[in-house]
Amino acid sequence: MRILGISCFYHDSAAALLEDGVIVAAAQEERFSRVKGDERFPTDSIRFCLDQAGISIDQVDEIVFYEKPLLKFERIIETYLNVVPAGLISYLTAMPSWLQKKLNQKKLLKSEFKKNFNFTPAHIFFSAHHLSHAASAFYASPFEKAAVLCLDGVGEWATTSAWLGDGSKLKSLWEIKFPHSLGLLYSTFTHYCGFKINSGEYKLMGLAPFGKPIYADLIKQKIIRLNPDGSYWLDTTYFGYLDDLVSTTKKFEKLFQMPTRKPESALTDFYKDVSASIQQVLNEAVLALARRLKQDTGADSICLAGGVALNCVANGLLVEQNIFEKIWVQPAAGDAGGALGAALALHYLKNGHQRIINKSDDMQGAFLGPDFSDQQIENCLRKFNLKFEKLDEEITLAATAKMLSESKIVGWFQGRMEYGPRALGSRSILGNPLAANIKSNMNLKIKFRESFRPFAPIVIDEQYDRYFSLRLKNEYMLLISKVKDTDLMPAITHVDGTARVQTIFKQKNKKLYRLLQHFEKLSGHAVLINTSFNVRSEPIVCKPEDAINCFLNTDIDSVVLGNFIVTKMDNPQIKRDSKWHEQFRLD
Amino acid sequence: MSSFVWIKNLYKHDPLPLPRNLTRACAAAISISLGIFWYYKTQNFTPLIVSASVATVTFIKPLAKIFFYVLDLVIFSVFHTMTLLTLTFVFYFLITPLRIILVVSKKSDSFYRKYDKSTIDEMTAETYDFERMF
Repeated sequence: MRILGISCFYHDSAAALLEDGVIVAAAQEERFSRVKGDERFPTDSIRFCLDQAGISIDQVDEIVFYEKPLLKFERIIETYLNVVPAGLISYLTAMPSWLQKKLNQKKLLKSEFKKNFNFTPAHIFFSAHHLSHAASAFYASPFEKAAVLCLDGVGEWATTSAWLGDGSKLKSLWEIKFPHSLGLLYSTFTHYCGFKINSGEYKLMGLAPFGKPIYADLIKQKIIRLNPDGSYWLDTTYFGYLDDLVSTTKKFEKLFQMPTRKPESALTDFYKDVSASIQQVLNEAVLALARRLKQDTGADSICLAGGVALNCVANGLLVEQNIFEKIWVQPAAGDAGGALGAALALHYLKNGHQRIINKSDDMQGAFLGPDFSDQQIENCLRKFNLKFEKLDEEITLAATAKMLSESKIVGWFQGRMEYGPRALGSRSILGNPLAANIKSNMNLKIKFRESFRPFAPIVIDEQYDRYFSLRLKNEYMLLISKVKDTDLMPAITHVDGTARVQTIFKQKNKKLYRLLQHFEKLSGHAVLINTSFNVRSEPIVCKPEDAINCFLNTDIDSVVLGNFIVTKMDNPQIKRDSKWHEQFRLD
Repeated sequence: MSSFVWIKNLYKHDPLPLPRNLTRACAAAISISLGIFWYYKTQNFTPLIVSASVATVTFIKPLAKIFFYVLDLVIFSVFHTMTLLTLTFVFYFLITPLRIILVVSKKSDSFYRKYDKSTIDEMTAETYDFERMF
């Protein structure tokens, strides 16, 4: 039985393919289209999934969409009804696309399949948005039984939902509905601090440790009420998302007595304090919900999904508080993960298949995207007229470790691309965490991004305890841990003495594990900086061509694609296009 | 098809074999009754407003026709959808005065339910129905 899951038409469209419950392939459309957060029908992602499985579209048994469009439309219409006469501009902006296309989504999806694949599906199934999130979190997790908490902006009506997963069953417990939403609350503050909604939330999270949470009480008094039962309530008069095209209102700005920060303007202490404050409030809200869920389920483990579950600070705190013994966060926790979740929900809940639990989870390290053969890589390098070396794997690893120990910055393009927003060692830029000034060099000359942004470390499993104190290791870079010696590696240590650490397990990513071992031989530390292989606002690279373009137009010293090594030193003819990165709209 | 022709066709087909005015009166009465019933059940003004709007539209057919005709001429070429016009008409020409009346008469200060203790709701069984788009 083959099931194709699709998410699209809002942001981060994606496709995922299941074959008898096993995840064969999953990818986000933005990686192929090179449009960040691409929301269009995921033609290339679907094509990739089919190619990976070696099948044609007519061999797919069932197709499922990740949310219920009519319920979503009901929410939108009811919102407009509630705020009339306000909301006219927002209404006139949103309605044409809904009425012309999205409302009849079954027809729209069928026509997209017809147009792109010359195939009209007989039937398309629809999963509820939060059910898709919950299924992506629980069914892919290593747990037999677990509480499931989904937190996001909004799907149809639910913004927060609680579930109990047990074997193949996933039972809904309760939900909190729009307009009360932790995701929209955090997004509103993201906008207020001058970052883009749906992509700048992690910047706000990174900015928070620079400030003091002096506005947390004010936020709790005026904007959000945290109830003793774990629920929360938002005073919607502070928010513009009901009736406006911007999230903040004048009342919101009046409360803080400061205007919304203009993008790219100076980050003053005020906005740092605001970001620290909203992060603290979010932490409290997430912990309260988790406590309630623990009380309701008695489960030892918790699974998280939804965009808010990408907040590593709140996740790390959840581990520190020991509310649950174990925690597993879906690496594609945002809407892209909905494609996978919808397929899993259909497989287990509608088709009634029995779940076989994989003790190390079903995500295969999140390496579910496309990979490229040596021949394809070589063709690409020749196309760019680059001088390169092809080496044995061990020699490649030794040479790469040597470059890193010499403080060179290396593009690392290996195997199957990651599914989800994090680069986990397949499409990464690696750096030496011991090197002086590497943080500012990488931020400003490689990534062209804000200088305050921290870099994440990767460490081999056996060495984790030497550097980090959080009791749980995470292979998906989704937990924040305290760094034991904050002076040792300032490049990976955030201002509050924490790091968003990724643990590399030998059985999941052997090549990167071996690279870290080689680096340890040279430097004494099995730790590297791992950041996504892209520049600011660019989707993470997918194909060798994308990697080479990024390499050519930034200060990356060398790039390792499979066992091919290309260095700037060997290619003095390279001329950098200083305007290359300007094609990507700032996020 | 022009939106005017579309709405004209719609009016040609009365759902009940009754005189048109009586049909409209019945529809309006049912709509308002349902709205009042639902308001007392939920304390939410939205159904009341919707039902009142439906009732109003039912009674002012000639007015509606003129509105649609004008709107059709002016806006149809931009939005290409009669449904949009209908919703715009209902929302911003009928509901606005009703809402203002409700707010001014202090019958409503907010259209969202305000919970004293919790915002937690039970989920519905429809969550697991993969056939439906709703």
